[in-house]
Amino acid sequence: MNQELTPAIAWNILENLQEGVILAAPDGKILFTNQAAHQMLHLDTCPSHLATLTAVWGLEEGWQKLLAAPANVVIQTAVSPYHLTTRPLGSTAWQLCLSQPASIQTEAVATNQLAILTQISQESDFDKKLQLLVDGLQTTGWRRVVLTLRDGTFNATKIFAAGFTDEERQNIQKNMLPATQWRQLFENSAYQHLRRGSCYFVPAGSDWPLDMVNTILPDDQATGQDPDAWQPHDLLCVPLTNRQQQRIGLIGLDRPHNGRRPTVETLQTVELYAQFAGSIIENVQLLEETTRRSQEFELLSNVSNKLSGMLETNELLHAMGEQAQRAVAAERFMIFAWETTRQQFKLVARSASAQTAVYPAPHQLQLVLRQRRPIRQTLAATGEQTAVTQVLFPIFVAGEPYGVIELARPQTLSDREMGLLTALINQASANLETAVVFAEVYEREAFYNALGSVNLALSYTLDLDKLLNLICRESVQIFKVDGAYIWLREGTRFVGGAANGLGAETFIETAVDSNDIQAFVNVLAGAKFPTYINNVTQRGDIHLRLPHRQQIQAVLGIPLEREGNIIGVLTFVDHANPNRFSDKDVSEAAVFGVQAAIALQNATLFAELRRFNEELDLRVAERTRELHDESNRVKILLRITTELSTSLDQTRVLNRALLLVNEVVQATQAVILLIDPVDGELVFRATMGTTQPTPPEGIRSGLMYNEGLAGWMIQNREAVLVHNTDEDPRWVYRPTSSEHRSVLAVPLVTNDEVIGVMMFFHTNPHAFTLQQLDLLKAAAHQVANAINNANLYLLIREQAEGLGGMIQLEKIETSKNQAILQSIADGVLVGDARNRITLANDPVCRILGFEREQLLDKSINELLGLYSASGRSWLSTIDNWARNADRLGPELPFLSDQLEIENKSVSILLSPVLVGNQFFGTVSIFRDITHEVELDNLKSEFVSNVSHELRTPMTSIKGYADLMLMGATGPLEEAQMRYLEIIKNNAQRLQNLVGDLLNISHIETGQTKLDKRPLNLAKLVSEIVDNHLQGRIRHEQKPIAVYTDLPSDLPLVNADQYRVTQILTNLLDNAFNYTPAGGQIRVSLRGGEQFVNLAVQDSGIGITKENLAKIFDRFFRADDEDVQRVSGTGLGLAIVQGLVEMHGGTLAVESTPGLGSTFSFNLPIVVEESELA
Amino acid sequence: MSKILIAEDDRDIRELILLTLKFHGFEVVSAEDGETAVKLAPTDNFDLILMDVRMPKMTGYEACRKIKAQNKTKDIPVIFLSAKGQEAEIETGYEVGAADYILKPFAPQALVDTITHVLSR
Repeated sequence: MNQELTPAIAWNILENLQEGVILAAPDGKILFTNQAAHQMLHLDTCPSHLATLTAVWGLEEGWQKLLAAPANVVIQTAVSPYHLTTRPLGSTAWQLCLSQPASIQTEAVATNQLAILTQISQESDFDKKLQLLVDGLQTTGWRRVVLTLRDGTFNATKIFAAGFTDEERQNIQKNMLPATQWRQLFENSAYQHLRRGSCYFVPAGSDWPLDMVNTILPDDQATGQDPDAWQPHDLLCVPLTNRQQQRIGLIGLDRPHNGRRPTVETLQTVELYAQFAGSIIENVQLLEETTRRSQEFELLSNVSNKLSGMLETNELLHAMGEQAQRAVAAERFMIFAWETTRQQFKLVARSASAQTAVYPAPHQLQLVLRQRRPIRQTLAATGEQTAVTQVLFPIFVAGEPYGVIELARPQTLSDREMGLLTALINQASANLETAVVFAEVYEREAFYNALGSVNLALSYTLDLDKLLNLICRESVQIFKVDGAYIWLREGTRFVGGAANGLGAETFIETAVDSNDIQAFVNVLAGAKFPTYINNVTQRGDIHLRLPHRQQIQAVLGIPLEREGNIIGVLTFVDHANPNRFSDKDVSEAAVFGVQAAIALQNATLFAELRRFNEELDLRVAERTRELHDESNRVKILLRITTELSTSLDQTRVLNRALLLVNEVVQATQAVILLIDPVDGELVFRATMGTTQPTPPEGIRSGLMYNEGLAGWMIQNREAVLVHNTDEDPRWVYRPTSSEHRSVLAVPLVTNDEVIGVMMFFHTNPHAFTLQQLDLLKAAAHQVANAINNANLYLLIREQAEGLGGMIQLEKIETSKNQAILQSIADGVLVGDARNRITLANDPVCRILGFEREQLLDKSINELLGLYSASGRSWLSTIDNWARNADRLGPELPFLSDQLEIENKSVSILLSPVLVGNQFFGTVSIFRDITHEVELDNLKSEFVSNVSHELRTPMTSIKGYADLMLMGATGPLEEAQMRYLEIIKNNAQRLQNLVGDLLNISHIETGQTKLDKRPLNLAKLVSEIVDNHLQGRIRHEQKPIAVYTDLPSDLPLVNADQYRVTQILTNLLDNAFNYTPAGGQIRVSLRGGEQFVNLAVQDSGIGITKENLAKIFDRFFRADDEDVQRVSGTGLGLAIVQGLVEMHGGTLAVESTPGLGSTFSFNLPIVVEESELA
Repeated sequence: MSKILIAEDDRDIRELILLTLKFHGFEVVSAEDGETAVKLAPTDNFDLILMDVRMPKMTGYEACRKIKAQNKTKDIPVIFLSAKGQEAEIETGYEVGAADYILKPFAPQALVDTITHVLSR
């Protein structure tokens, strides 16, 4: 307080104190009495000396006693008892204070008040509560009481009164004091002197105008009540406040003017009631507000509950509309969605009641979305429609305009309802966002799932046509378009390759030339990225060149690019929606296009590879057949040679000759005719296929040596091959030979003299070949010699029996060898039992580049040593044959090898020559296969190129997938990680396929070289089982029991450790892959005389009998669900077999379907150096 | 930070190597063929050269031979990164002076490991 306490202010305070204050001089003279003291003393005039007062109060001691010392006594005035306290003010004055003692407040009054307040608190009805309060307040000493409830602007809303007649009560309402006047009383400082605590005391005649007072509590005069009894009133007003100190009501009380101000106790009582009333009112208002808020909350919570489970957009929009309609009791709702692609609104949901409603104008809907604020407007009545209030609320999803909801009802909507709707729509929008996001995610996931499975299918499909159709079919499904068309580039043109959709058949093979620059396909090829054209019916400048052009509304094209070249174009069309495509489609189409292009390229490369392989197969088969034929011929000749030369019985020789030759020519009938040296008639000496055996002296034919086909041969000394006897003039028709259509025949010449013919017949035309003729010619020499020998034998036996034996044998040997040499086109080298070269024909001299003389009598050891590093193993084999001749056969063994001799590639086939159990030596056949080797080299180069071309794109696919997985492009979603793993795994599968193809190709072309060393198989197997098999079991968590039986005392094997590891890993992988969890795998080693056997036995699904024969075929995979589940190329076993055979071992399999399979193979034991020598 | 020169004609793979190496903190300069690589090799103090084998204008083998023949560049280690994986091809790579030979498709981590290993020699 910076204001000084002036005497005037001090006096004013004294004057206004509620205590009565009397100041007296020490002589008892009264100096001052304040207003309160006046009232308390109830004296007409103010006394001038204390003596007067002590007399009145009946204080016998007199006034001197009062001033003798500070005192505190109770005095009794005419009105009521008072406390009187005295104390000196310095030495010049005494102060006497009068006050009502608290104890004097009667207990009855307090008890009464308490009872009233208790009654009020127990009453539950609001109105009754306040009425009780008003009534109770009146009993505390007031004439009349009015309690008014007031609104925010202090206008009265409800009145409670006590002490009025009914008529007066109604008047109060009419004569209310304006709120502005009240605010003056409360807020204008001019009236602050009226304030007593929270009350305002307005005594009669106050400067706050009386007429105002009278309107608070009606004037008795004005109401005409007993004017004589009227007296001016004092008025007490108490504003009622709530906790926030806002004035929410007013209590007014009056009583007749008595010149006294209300006591502190009175004011406290009134204030107590006022506080009580304030809290009652506030509680009720709070309750109402709480109830309303809880209803709104319940509504929003209902909306939230109802909508939060919904993920289907239409369902959600409907529910949203219904909830909004219900929240404000609207008559209808309509929801319009904004379609960005079409730039228009579309009605997406409405109430049944909105079916006849007029749609809002689009510009209004746009305005709502643009302003992001609702519009509330009244629609005038039109025709059948009554006037309604319409509200348009914008709906935003994730900050983007989504649409507008319209609600309408006859009554206008309050701000509160608008707020409620805003909250409700926001709530629903959040749910809508979830639904939209869900729909997008769902769609995206569906797209990637579909793409993933297509990708899988594409990587499986290597057939180009199938692949093209697959791409088209899957495109239509994934992109939900009406058609998909693939153009493939062929030189300068694009040609329809495959299609799925309208007019698909007519599309195939249609062509677009590159100079048709308006053609969509050429535009795309130039652009090199996916492009779409919506509203394509309007675009006459674009030539789609697709079937049913008029029906196409929108089109999307994806160039298929590999390594900068456009290999094709994939086109999608839509027949319904002119705005079908968006940028989203472009990005998805680009992804798809890359996959499709890779698959196409792979398929193309694979087709080339497969074509080449097939060609190779064909060549191998052809070559094998040739070799087989060749080998047969040689064998037959050898047999003829050996058999005929061991017999000198002419009949037996001739019949055997026919049978042996016929093993190759397969004739229906055969004969040998010899010329009778006496008369020149032809005599049947041996027949085959006739019913009667030929007698030793023969059957005379009736034909002379110069008649018929036989006669022609004898004359011309030439063999004949007649394909059809009907067309050959040399053929003489005879009833006994009428069935013959084909003839194969040779003259038999010995010592430059024709002695007869050997003829083979067949009932079918074209039954014989030139090769057979060659064989027959070679055999003819043997036969002729044999006949000659037999004849000579007879002669010699007759002339010099016993003498000619040695000569005879010599001669047989010579002529036999000569015949072989003459008859074989390939080089032939014959070695004797001591490995010395005894024979070499012209071709072998040419191939080896030696003169015959240089070769003869040379050791084969020397010759082989010149060319072949493996010559030593050859020698040991030949040695083995010689020593174990009795154990060879019936299938004769042979050795084959390939040598490089002066820029030529030569294949060598070496077989033992056995007569009975006697080892005579060896026959080697040399063949120039330079051309074949060149082809092989070409193939190898091609394979290398193809593998390079396959690996390069795989590097990108795998590398980028790895890069992304590595996190180089930022963190990845779980789904993205999964898709990348799929891409990576599939690329890995392709890589495995290429690796397997290379392996098999290398094995088949002989490019795989073995690095054979002595190998401890038990140790290696144990390592592979521990590291590889157990590793897979742990890593893939597939419990399989593994048992090994690996004896440590086995001999070392001669093998390439890397290749053996490859073989065993492959077999263990198969066992693991095809054995279910809980099964077992057993790996065991068994030693033998020459080999160590390794077996892998599993308890897996096994192999059916028919499949057992095919499992080593390349690309074979059993058509079985359990097999197809395991990914594989179908090359593994072919590779294993190739590698095992390269080691000189054999691969065997035994299996029982459902019980398991056992794969086993042999590896040769190391041969000690000493054994070789 | 090590500086690496890469020579690779396939755009996609070149970018893949570039991204991988940059991601692992290498400084990278790239060439599209062997001839360019030979020209670039002496221009900037490269710590290592990563080279494809089959490239236009000049093969990786030839480029490596030239790099090893020049005094200024002969000590820069060269690693081949190729899809050519036949034994003879890999042998040729080492014959012309390669420090290592990585087969495509390669795992990015393996590539980085090999480079780090060669650089630490």
